[in-house]
Amino acid sequence: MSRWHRRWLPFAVAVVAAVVAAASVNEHAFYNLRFHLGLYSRDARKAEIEQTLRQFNRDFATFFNVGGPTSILPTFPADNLIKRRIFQEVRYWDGMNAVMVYDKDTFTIEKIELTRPDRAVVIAREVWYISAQDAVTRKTISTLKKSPERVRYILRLDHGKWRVMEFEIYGEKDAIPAEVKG
Amino acid sequence: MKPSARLCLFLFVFCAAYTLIEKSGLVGVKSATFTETFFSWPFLAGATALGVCVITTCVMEGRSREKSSRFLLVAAILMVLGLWISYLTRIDLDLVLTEGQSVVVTRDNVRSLGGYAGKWARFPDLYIKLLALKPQLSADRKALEKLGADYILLTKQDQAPRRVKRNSGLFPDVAQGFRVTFGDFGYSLLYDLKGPGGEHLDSAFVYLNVGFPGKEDYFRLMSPHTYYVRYTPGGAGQEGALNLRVTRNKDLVLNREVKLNEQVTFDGENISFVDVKQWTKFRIVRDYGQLLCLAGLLCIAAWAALISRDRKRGPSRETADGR
Repeated sequence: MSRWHRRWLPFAVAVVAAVVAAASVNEHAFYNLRFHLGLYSRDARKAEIEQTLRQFNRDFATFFNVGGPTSILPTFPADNLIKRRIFQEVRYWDGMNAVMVYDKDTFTIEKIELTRPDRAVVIAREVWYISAQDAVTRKTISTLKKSPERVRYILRLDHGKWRVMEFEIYGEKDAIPAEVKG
Repeated sequence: MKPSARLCLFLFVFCAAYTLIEKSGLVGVKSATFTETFFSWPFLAGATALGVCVITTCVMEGRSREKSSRFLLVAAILMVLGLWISYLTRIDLDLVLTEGQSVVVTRDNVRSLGGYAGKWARFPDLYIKLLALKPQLSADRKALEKLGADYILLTKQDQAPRRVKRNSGLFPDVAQGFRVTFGDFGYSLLYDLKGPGGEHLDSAFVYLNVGFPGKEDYFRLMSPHTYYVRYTPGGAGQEGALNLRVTRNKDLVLNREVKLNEQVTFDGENISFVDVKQWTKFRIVRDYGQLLCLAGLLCIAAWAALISRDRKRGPSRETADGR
């Protein structure tokens, strides 16, 4: 072993040991390292996020339009507090023998930001047509409301799958402020 | 280099590299705090091993008789003791208080308040009440320049409550081993929620991260509604500007400027904001281990100073004689 090796080997081993120790106390350390070094496919990640949001909106509308089918609840990509808020309203309309119908007209993503290895912030423009209908006859019992809005979604990566942990609704002309919760 | 010295160096490099990796957040989702880093098992194990290695090297090689090495020996003992005392007995708590609000911290609620308490921490009985805040903002109102607070602090050992009036700054207020600091600032709004028949449903202060231009925060109550608030305080004698947006899931129910005490009706409910107060975040820490670590660092500084002085003087007589 050369003199150089003898001198620097303990340092190198100590640094490698420190990396291994740090990896052992952090979940998904290799994935996080790749993220920080930029060694991942950004486009693939964005495609996954877009797909998650499309499924989120599809299931969201289904919960309201059909009066809360619980069979799709486990695959609905959202945190429990969001599910609770949706079902609170679905049950409210159900109690009045009505359903709140959300018809999505457009959904355009303005920006996807990957803020952390396990976090993404998405700004989208959406237009929904919202009306209350009688649950049996499906007759409209409220005026049809066109609701153009900007939405900020905050997503987290949980066991390899993206989930919506928060969504904030803004008017179509509102400026979106800096994130304060999350 | 002797094997024991090489082992010490190895452990030192390990601890330093581990701290750097954790602080940089390279393998984590975000940068770890110093507490998270120092209280994690790799650092505790590495630093303890380093301390033990330094102590045994000093004692086995008979260096404890040398003046400079004595400082190193004491430093190693103090640092290892300090680290473990800190890990086992530290109490660390962040509390958001609105003017007029008080909190009692007891052994039962310190963890439920979101604080850190070491396994052997003797829990405090601590009472803190915020009386008033005096913020000093920059001319464009975008930044907080100085924050003055008037509060009452009472620890278990105190005979009488202590009223403290001070500005936020580098040095904490120290009482019975507790270090109390404060810094953040925002507004708490008192909402009053009424039902369709005008019956009172709920009323409370909710602290919001608002008060600076462009800042917005939100809160939720029992219904599926979300209340988004922007608030800009007015000047002397002027009412502040309050913007309220209410959504029910994806339905934007309300989005307009409201006045204080104005009753806003939506979805059969009625909400009004009847009072505005200020809040700040207190940080309360008690950590006896830090004092030992500080003393250890001073010993290391003294050791380094003695070593460099000896080196400047040249080789010792024994070495020069070849003995």
